Amino acid sequence: MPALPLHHYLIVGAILFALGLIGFLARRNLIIMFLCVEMMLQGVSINFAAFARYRGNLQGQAFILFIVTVAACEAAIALALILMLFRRHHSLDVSKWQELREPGEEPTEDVEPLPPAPREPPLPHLTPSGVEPEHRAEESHV
Amino acid sequence: MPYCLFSAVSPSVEWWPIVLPLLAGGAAIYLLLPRPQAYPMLWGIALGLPALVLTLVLLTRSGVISPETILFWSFSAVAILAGTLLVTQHNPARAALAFTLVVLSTCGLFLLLAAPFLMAATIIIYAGAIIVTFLFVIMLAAQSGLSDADDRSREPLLTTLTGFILLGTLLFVLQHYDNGVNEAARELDPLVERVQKIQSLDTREAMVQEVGEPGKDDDLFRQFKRVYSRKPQWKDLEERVEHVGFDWSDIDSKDAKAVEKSKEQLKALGTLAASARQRLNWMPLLARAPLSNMSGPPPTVEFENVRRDETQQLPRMPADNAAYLGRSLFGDFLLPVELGGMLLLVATVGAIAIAFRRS
Amino acid sequence: MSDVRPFLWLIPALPLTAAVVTGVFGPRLLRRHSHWPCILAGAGACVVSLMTFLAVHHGIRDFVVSHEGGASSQEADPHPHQISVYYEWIKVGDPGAGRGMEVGFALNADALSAMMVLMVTFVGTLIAIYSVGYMHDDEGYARFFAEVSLFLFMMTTLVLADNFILLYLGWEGVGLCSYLLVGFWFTKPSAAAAARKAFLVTRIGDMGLLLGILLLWSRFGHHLDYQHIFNHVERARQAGTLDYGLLTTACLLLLCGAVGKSAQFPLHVWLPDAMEGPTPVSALIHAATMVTAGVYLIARCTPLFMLAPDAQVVVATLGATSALLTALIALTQNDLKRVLAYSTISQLGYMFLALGSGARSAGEAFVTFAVLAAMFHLFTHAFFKALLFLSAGSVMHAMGGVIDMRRFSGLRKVLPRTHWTFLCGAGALSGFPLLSGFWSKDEILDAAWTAGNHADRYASWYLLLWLVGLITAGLTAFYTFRAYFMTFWGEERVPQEAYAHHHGHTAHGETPQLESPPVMTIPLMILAIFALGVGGVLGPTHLFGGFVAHTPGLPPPEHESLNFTMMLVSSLVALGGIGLAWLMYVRQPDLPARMARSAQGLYQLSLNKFHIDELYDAFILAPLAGLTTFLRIFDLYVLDGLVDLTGHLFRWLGVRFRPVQNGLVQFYALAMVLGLTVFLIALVSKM
Repeated sequence: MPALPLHHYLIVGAILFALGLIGFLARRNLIIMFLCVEMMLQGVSINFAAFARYRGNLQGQAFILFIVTVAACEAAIALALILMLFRRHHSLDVSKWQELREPGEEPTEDVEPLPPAPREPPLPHLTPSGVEPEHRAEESHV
Repeated sequence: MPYCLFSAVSPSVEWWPIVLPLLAGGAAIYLLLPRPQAYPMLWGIALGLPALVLTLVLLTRSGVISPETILFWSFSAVAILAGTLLVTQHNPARAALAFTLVVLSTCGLFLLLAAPFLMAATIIIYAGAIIVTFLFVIMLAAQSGLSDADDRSREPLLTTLTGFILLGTLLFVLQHYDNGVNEAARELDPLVERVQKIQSLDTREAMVQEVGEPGKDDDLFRQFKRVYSRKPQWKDLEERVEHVGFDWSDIDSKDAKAVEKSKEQLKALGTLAASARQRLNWMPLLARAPLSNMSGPPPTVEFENVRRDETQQLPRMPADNAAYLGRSLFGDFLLPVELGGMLLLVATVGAIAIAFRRS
Repeated sequence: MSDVRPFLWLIPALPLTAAVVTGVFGPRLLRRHSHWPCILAGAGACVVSLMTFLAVHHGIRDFVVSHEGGASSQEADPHPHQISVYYEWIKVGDPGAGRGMEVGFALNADALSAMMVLMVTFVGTLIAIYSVGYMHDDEGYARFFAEVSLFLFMMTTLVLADNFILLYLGWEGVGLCSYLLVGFWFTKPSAAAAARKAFLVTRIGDMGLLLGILLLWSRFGHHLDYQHIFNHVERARQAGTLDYGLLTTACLLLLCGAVGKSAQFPLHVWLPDAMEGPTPVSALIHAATMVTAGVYLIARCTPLFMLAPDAQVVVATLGATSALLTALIALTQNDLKRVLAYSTISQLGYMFLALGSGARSAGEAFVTFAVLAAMFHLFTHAFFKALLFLSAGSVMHAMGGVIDMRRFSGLRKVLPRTHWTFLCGAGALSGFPLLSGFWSKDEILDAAWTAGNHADRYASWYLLLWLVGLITAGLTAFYTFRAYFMTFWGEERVPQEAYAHHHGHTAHGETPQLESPPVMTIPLMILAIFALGVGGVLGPTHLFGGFVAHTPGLPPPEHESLNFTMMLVSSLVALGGIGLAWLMYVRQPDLPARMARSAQGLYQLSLNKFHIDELYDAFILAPLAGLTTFLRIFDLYVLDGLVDLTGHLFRWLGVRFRPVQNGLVQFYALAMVLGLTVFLIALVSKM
């Protein structure tokens, strides 16, 4: 029984890489952008693992470990940066930071209006420390 | 060879298996990307599912149905599906969960690729640590509900085009290369079959008859040499066939020892053929890798010298993966490991310093 | 023979040091004492020059004695009577292997250059001392002495140079100093214009000199030092492979440089204007030293010129033309310094005449004789012309800056010492029998006469040139004594400006003391002694000729007897000229005016310098100015337009591309990915 050819794994890696790239370029939420970068790294990791398998050695796997390490560092720094930027603008929109453009150029604004009603249910969120959470009024169903 | 994109597309590369899923997938992603006046989600799904199926067809065309293939198939499908979800999902929290799915299916692929330690490490670090932290940040940041930005995309058309052209180029390269391997295999396979058939013969006369008269065109050795002369990475094999062939034609007796010896030589010929097949996967290696055997056989080791599985023709990996990976890391990659640790420490300090700064 | 080689470098180095010291510290620290570095350096250089001179002299004497004693010439040093030092200067490639070029800062003192450098430093020192009095209340006192020191450095470098590149350095250096010193009073527009004119006109000649040097380098063996070039040419001549046409071209190009520097026709126009500079400068640069550089150059290149008789006849013709033309102009000039300037050109023309007369066909020894005549005249001329200029300067100083001879007369009582020294100089210049000029001018006429009689080509032409020289001798005597009589004889008239500095004296009704201070008159007297005696001591005794003739490259000379007939003729001509001047300006002072009226056209022609400046303006400057205007318009609107267009194009493109920098990170990332994709596609298409 012959094994799966190497290039099948490479194709999966390439697809993950390309999807992550599209997400990074198109999505405007900073967190999603970072998740997409991580997905690109996953695609690369698959390549490494496949090459390691088809060469019969562990160098590729060792490399994946380094990738994971760097990804962890990146995530730590990125999250810290995102927090700081969020404090400044109260938004995770990457397009809020476009001051470093040519002087005199108009800022790029969103012109198309959003549909009025929010379609999503509210997100779960943390209560800031030191603030007493709102208590819902007790309702008796008795 | 003319330096032109379209003439380089050799007839051996078939277009449709690449272009069809690309077009369908690209259109699906374009339609599904969040925007104020969204297209109906059904359109995207209707385009995306065929694209996924076509991709899976592309991934299994030359394979045989086996547990491994099925696992590979399902992990790939989940990974690609979850990746698409990650890219197109409005809600960042859901996107994070989709990413978890991507990580998990990637870990499944790692397992298929004989990397259990990596699977475990990736699950722990990504799914366990990074994703949780991301979710915390999302919850902290999104207290006021969804932000406007989540419902918009930056240049969806241009971005999708760019990404899929890049993907198409990569796939083309891979396909081209795979076709080359298959083509060479098609030429080599009958010859290898012939070698196996000769090996099963008992008398030397019959063997000589099968091999063909030395010096004639349909001589087995001549045919091997002709095939080997086609590719640059096979150049030295041509010479080695000459060696085998020389010994072969020299012996002219009927005793059992000679037959045994001839069979030995035929076996060597078979090994050469297997080596040739494997070499198609090999990049030409210019430098010696300064690594120990701890990390497995270095890439410069010849094909014949690598222990490999009889049925799969794949090299054997160390049975206790985690132990050998640890030895490799702390033997061959000691300095990079230390540097990585240092990097982690610095990143931690930096993250704390940045996050605590009040603006 | 004391060894002076280790000290040879001091001759240029001392004035250079003085120039730097005076230039840096003069205006702030030295102030009224700025002359000391210059005078000390000049005197020091003069002493070293004298030592060098004596050493060369000893070498020649030993050489001659050893030859007469029958010693084999082969074992002796071929040039024992030259002292040379070599410092590495420019080295390109590997000259030893024939690839590359080597130019040394090579100083060489042979008979010719030792004589020249001694003369330059001696006259220079005397003039520097004189300047202490002449320049005493000038604002640029320190600047003056710094520039004079720099000039001495450049001039000694020029004279001592052992190769053409170093000579060219000195050549351009003295040109620069001349420019600086002519324009010393640069706030005066006429002085600035004169300085520019002097610089530009000599540049024309310098270009020829440079071309000549490059031609010699490229076509005559890739050498730059004199001896190698001369040897190469001599070997080529003996082998019969010498290209005479090329050699004549090279000589004419060198002559071009000499004509520019020595202010010969047709490039003589800058010298009279250069009189705008301070008078000591006129004496030093434009009479005694720098203008003789052209003569020195041709004398130095005699081994080349004597093989090119066509070039020689051009030299002689140009010399004679300049001599006659400027003598005619000098007849009518009223500016004392301009008379002297024209007479300088005239005398330099004499030297060129002599240099050009040295036809090889009249015997190799005759070549040396002609060169010696020129150099001897150069030597004596340096003394008496410096003396005349300094005396004129003394007059000018006393008259409060007035130099127009019509505004003063009868000064022999007012300026007794200046009167006597001027008379000595005038006598020497006009060739009064037994004075310096007499001996040297006589030799030149003798050379021209001999060439006219013995040269196998252009003989009758040389005879004509001799006649021109004789006429010029008479004219010289006439205009010199015209100036003398106009200044010092007749009724006593002193312009008002002279008393500008002497209010205290005029208040008492006494005749004020106008005579210059001793610091000016003592150098005058020293120079006067030399002007009177140097010709007679060195000329007929063959001391000068016997010394300079041992310059390497000159053919061996013969002892020529004095040509008494020629002496008699030239004496008569000179005395006739002097007498005519006396008749016209002392006996019958109204005669010149009547003659001028009766020959109005000729008089105006001479007074306006034959309209040469105007001719140049009309036929050279005006077309050039038109071309310049055209080029300026072309440059402004076509070339600059193209340049601006390039700028505007990219500016336009930049404006078009500016929106790309919109500050959105994702746009930038998209651009990167697009680039990556294109790159990848290019790679794939090559697969």
